[in-house]
Amino acid sequence: MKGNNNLQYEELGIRRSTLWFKTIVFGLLNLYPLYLALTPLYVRSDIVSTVITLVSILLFILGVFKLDTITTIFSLVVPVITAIVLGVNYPVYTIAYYVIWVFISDYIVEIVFKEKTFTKWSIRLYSPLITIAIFTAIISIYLVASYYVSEAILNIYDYVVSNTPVMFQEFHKIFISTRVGSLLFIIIVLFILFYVFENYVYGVISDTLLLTKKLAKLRIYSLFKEELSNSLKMSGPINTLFMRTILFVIFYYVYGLLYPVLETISKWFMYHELFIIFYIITWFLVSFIVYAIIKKIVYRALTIQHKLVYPRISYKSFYISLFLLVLYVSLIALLSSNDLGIMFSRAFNLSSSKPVYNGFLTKEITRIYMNFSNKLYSYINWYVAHVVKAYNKLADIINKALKFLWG
Amino acid sequence: MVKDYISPIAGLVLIGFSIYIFLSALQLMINRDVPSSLLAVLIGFVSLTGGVSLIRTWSLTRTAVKIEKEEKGSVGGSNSSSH
Repeated sequence: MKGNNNLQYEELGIRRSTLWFKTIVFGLLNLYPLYLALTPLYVRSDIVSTVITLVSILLFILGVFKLDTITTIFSLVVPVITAIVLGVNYPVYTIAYYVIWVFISDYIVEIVFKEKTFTKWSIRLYSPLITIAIFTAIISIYLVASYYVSEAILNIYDYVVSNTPVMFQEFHKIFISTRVGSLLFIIIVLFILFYVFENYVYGVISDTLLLTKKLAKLRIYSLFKEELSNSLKMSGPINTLFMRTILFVIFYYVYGLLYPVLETISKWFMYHELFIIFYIITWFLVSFIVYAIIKKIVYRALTIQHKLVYPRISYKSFYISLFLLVLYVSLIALLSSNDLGIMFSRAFNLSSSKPVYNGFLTKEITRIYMNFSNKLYSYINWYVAHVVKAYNKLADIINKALKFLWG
Repeated sequence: MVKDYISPIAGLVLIGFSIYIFLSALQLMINRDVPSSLLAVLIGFVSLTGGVSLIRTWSLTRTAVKIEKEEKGSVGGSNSSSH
């Protein structure tokens, strides 16, 4: 057991005996936020708040024992959200303070009890000062930037709402002015905070504490290399987030564009439920195909490779167009052979006289084309009207679902 | 020497012809002469794809011959080649 401990210490810088200190300090640091988060539920006596209180206490114990930040955050966030949903007047933005505090306490525990960092700490006096300065600078820049960005977003949003039809007003009603909308907003803010803390702030603090010239050089080099390889391989968190956003946008548009086409097909189905299943399957299939095509194009644009190893010459397009030409000419020769000569001379611009066609196929083609071009305007109108109907339907469904969920 | 340049010139001529015939197809469509316009478009596609594949074949064979010559030169010493 002792040998195992030594091995762990040498390889990871963790000594078993310090783990208990870590849990105790982490738990003590987060006890007061837990008390604050549970207070509004603790006063109530209904069964939901009792169950949620117990669950969050259990989650807290689990998170502290495993030293898991996410579980601890959940144990603090869940009771607050429940209290807000149950109608208790509790400020939503306290969640952000709790989350930040959990991260900071986790970091304090890590930096104080990680013994290898102790040995590396050749602390110069000004390094904690620099750390604090950088930390405050980051937070203040973040706050100022978020203030201006949110102001700009609100301005743009007001402009959009005042200048656009029912769809956006419905969106505003659902996502911004309701309790669910503000909860969604705070969840997005939490995600961003988590991402920033997990990836940048910890790294910045430990880098400034242990900063040497060699480390700085290495860090810059590895950062550039990592970002470059990420952008070339289309991997990494930012690329993944970007591609998922594109997928969501494709889903949104394919839904509306498919609606008119599939509604015409809906007459063939005996049951409406069957049609809905068919609709969902086609929707997913088409969106994923479009997504794959876009991904392939982006990947090709980003990766430059020499592909001229064994070039193959293909005459596929030539054969296809030749086949179509031969088919067309033979059909005309079969069904309306008298017009073929006139058509060829007209096609090569050899005769300018207005022709009079007598054959069956030539007459039919002219009639179908004229019919189509006369009705094209109404077809487009019909399609656009149905697309608008589809989005209105979507807004209605979301509205109904939210009313069902939140009362 | 002369033979080498027949196929790219033929391809260019075919592409030019296809542009001419596409324009004539547009003119025919404006005059509501649908069947002959369709015929012109199909002829245009045939000549365009034919011309493009002629030029592509020519350029690929040229590079292939070049690579072959370089490989031969590097394996069997310096062989003077007339061009």
